[in-house]
Amino acid sequence: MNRAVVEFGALCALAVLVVGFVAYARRCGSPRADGGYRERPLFHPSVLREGLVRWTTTTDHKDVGLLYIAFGTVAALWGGVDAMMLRTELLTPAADVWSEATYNALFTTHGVTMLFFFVTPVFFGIGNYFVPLLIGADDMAFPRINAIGFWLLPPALLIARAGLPSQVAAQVLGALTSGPLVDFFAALEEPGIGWTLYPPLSTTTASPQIDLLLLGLHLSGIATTLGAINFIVTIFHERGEGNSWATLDIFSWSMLTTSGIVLFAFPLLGSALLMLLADRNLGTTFYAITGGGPILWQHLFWFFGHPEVYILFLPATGLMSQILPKFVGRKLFGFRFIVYSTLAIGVLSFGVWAHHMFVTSMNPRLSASFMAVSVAIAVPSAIKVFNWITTIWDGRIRLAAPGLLCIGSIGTFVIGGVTGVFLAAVPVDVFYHGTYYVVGHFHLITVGIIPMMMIAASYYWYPLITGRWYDRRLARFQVGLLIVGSVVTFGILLALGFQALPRRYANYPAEFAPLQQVATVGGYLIGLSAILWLYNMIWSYWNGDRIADADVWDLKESDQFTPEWQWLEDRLERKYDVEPTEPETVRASYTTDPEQGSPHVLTDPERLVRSVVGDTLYGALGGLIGTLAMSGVLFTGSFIGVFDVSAFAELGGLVGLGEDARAGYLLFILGGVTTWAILFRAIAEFLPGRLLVVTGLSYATIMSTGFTVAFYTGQTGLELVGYLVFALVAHWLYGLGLAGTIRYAEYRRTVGE
Amino acid sequence: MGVADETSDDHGGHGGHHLPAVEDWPRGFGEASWWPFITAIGGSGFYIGAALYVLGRGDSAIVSPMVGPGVFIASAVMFLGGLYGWLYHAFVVNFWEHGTGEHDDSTLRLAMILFLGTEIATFGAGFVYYFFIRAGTWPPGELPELFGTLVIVNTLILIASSFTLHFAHTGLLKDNRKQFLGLMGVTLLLGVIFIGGQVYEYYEFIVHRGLEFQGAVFGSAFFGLTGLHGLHVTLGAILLSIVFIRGLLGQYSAERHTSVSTVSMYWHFVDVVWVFLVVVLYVGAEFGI
Repeated sequence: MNRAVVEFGALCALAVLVVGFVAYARRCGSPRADGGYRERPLFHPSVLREGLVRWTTTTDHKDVGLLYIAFGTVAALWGGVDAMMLRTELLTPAADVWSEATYNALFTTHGVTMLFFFVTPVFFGIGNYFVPLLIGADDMAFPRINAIGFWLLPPALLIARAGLPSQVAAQVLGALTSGPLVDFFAALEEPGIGWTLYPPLSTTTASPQIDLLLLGLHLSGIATTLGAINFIVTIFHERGEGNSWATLDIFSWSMLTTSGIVLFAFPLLGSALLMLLADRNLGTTFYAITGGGPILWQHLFWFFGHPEVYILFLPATGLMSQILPKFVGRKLFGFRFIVYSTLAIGVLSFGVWAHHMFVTSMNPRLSASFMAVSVAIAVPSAIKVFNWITTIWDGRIRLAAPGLLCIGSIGTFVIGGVTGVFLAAVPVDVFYHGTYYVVGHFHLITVGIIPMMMIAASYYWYPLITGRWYDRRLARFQVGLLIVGSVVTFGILLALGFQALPRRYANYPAEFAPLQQVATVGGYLIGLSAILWLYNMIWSYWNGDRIADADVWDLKESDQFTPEWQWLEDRLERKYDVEPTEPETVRASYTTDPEQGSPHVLTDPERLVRSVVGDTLYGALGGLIGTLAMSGVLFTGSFIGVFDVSAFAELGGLVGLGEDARAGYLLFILGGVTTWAILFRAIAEFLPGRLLVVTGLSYATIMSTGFTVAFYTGQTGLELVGYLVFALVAHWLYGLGLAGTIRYAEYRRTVGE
Repeated sequence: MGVADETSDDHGGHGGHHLPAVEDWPRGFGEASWWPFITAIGGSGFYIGAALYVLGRGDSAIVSPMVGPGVFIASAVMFLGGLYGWLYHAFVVNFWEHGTGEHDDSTLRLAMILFLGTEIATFGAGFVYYFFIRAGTWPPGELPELFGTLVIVNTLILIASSFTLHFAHTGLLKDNRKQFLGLMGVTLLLGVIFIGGQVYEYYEFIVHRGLEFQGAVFGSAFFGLTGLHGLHVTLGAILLSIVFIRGLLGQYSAERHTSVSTVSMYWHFVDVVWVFLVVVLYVGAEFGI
C-alpha cells in the first residue's frame, strides 16, 4: 500500500475529525437559555483572528504550557499513527502490508517523533503550567524565552518530518504535472536508518531527508535547552515567599533535575548532529573509519541518549510522587529519599551510556564498569518504587482515573525496570540485545509510566485548568484499556524476545504470528484509549460538569490542599465569590500516632521483632503439631490399607530427592510447617468461620481436595472411599492443630498483657 | 478559547515584581508579544535555509544553489529584527525609568552560567572526536607546523583582553567611567585583532600549508574546533560592542551593570576554552604529548 498517502490521509482525517468535533462540542456546550448569550461560531473570522493573535503572542506560562501540551499531543498522534502502521505490518509474517523500506522508515520516524517531539514538550508544558503555581511564582523567569522555546518546536517537527508531506505533495503534484517542484518533493523521503542514526548507514545513505532530520533535531535541541535553562532559573530564583528548598514540592524537584540533565545532554547531541551533517556534506571524517569511526557516534549519541531516557522518565516520577499521595490520602512516604534518588539518577545517568554498546567492539573492561553503574542506577529507581508502594500502605485508596493510572503504572514500571536490570548485565545483553526483549523492556517504561503519568496529570488537573469535570466513567474505562493494552502488547514483546525473535524486521518466521497478532491487538487498544482520552478532553471542555468549589478531590480532608489548588480557590473566590470549603472530617495524611494508620511501625522495633518472631514460631509449632496429628491418621490409614506410603516417595521424586519415602515424608512435614501454615495465615480472614479454629477446619477441607489428587495411588471401590475419608479426617486434624496452636498463642499474649 | 483570558488578571497584584511586557506590541494583550514568535520563525528559517543549501549542493542538486543562502539571509533579517524588537521593548524603551531590581540581575547571571554549562557540552563533542583520533595512530598523516608565533601572539592578545575586560568592569564598579570605557574599547579592539589573526591563520594553513578538512582526519578536528571557537569569539565581539555602545550612552553605573557582568562571563569562558584548545590541539598535536 502507498504508505505516505495512507498515513497522511489518516492524519488529515484525524485532524478534520478533531476540528469538527471541537466545533460540535463547543456548540453543544454554549449556554443558550440564559439571556440570549451565544458564542460566535468557531469558524467566524473574528474568532479565528483573535485566537491566532492571542496564541501566537502569548507569553503567559499557562498559555505556553497549553501550547506545549497541544503540540506534544499532535506529535503523539503522528508518532502513534506510525506505531499503528508498524503493528499492522506485523500482523502477517511476510512484509505484505507495507514494504520493508516503509517499515524501516516507520520505526525511525516513530522513535524520533515520540522521543523528541512528544514526551519532552508535553512534560515541559505540564511544568510550564504548574511549576510557577506550585512554587508561588508569577510566571517563568523568562516568559519570552519560554515562548520562543515553544515556537521553535513546530518548525523543528516539520523539518524533521518533512518527508511525509513531501511525498504526498510529490504524488499529488506528480499526478497533475511534472517539473523541478515535483522532483524536489519526491527527493524528500523519510529515511529508514533507525532513530539512533548510526553511521555508516546514516553517512552513506543518499536521502536528503536525513540532512533535514539532523537539522530539525538540532533545532528542537535548542528549543529544549532554552526551556531547561528557564526552568532552572525559575526554580532557583522565582520561588514565592516562604518557599525554601526544604519545602520545594516533588514535581519541581523532578523538573529541576530533568532540566539539569538537558543542559549537558542536548548541546552535546547538537554538536554530534552537526558533525554528522558535516560528514555527510562537507567531507569531514568525524565518523569515518579513518577518523573517529562509527563507534564515536555511538559514544556521543548515547552519552546524550541515556540521559535522555531519564529526561523522559524523571518528570513522570515527579508526577507520580505528586499525584499518588492525593489518591491514597497519605503524604508521600520518604519524600527526602525520593528527592535524593532523583538527584542520584541525574548524576548517574551520565555514567551508563555504554550499556547500549555491549555488542560493539568496545573494550570489555569498559563494559564491566558500565555494567556496574547500570545495575547501580536501578537502586534509586527502586527507592522510588518502594516509597510509592509504602505511600499506598494503609491509605484510603480512591480508584479515580488518576489514582488507577498511578497504581497501574507502578506495576508496568516495575516490569519494565526489572527487565532493564537484566539487560544491564553484559552476558544477558549480548544475548538479548538484538531481540524484541529490548523493545518490550523500554516500551514498558516509555508507555508504562511516561504517557500514563501525563494522562494522570491531565485528569488530575483538568478541573483546575478548565473549571469543569471530565467524563469520569469514560476516563476509568480509558485507563483500564490503556493499562491492559500496554501489558498485553509489551508483555508479549518480552515473550517474543525470550524466544530470540530479532527486532527491527518487517518479516518474521510464521510460528511467531499468533503472538505478534495478539501484540498488535494490544497496540490497537492503546491507540483506541488515546482517541478516547482526546475525545474526553475536548468534549468535557465545553460540556463537562462545572466544579462547585476548588477542593474537587477532597484534598483538604487529608491535609494535602497544595498551592496550585489554593491558587484556584483564590481565583474562584475573587471572580465568582465561591466560598472556600471546609471538610467535615480530617484524616491527617501524616501522623506518628499508630492508631491513626500511619506506617510508623518502627516506633517500637523491639515489640515488632518480638511479635514477628513469636508469630513465626507459633505458626511453625502449630504446623508441626498439625502435621504430626495428620501423620497419625495417615499411618493408621496405611495400616488398614487405604493409604499407600509410597505416595511420599513420589513426592520426594518430584522435587529431585529420589524415590525415597523417608525423604518425601520429611518434605511433607516441612511443607506442613512452612508453606501451608503461612498460606493459612495469609488467607484465613477470607475463609468461612467466625472462630479461628473453625476457619482452620474449612481451610483443611479445601486443602484436602488437592491432597487427595496428589497422593492418589490408584485405590478403587471401598478403598477409595476409605482413602477420601482418611485424607479428610487427617486434614481436619491438621487444621485443628494449626489453628488451635495459633489461637492459644494469641490467647497467651492477650493474657500476658 | 478562554483559558488564560480569565487568568490574565492574576498577575497584577504580586508585589513589585517587574513584568516583562508592560509596553509591547501588540498592545492591549497584557503579557503578550509578537517578538518571540517572529524571532522563532527567523531562527527556524536558518535551518530551512541550511536544509535548502544542502539540497542545492553537488551534481544532483534538486534546488537552485541560491535558494538556500537566500532563505538564510531573509531569515537572518527576520531573526535580528525580532531580536531587536524584543530587546528594545524589554530593556531599552523604558530603560531610564526601570529601577534596579536585584531579582532580575541574579536570574540573568544564573541564565548565563547555565548557558556556559551547555557550551561545555557543545565544545565537548568536538574535543571527544579529537581525543578519539589522538588515541589512535599519531600523527594520522602529514601535519603542518601548528604551534608558531602567530598562535602565541594571538593567545596572548586574547588573554590580555580578558584582563582589560575585568579591569573595565572593576572601573565601572568604582564609578570610574573613564577607565571603564577606555578598557572596554581596548578589549573590543583586542577581540577584533584576535579574529583577524584567526582569519590570517586560516589563510596561511589552507593556502600555504595545505591543511584541509575534506577527508582529513586532523583537519576535521582543527577546523571544527577552531571554527566553532571563532564563531563564539565573533558573537562575543558583537556583544562587547553592544556593551561598549551602551556604555558610551551612559547606561551603566556601579549599580546597573548586569549585561557587563554577563558578557564578561561569556568572554572569559571563550578565553578559557581557547587556552585549553591551544594546549591540546596546537601544542598537543605538534609535540605529541
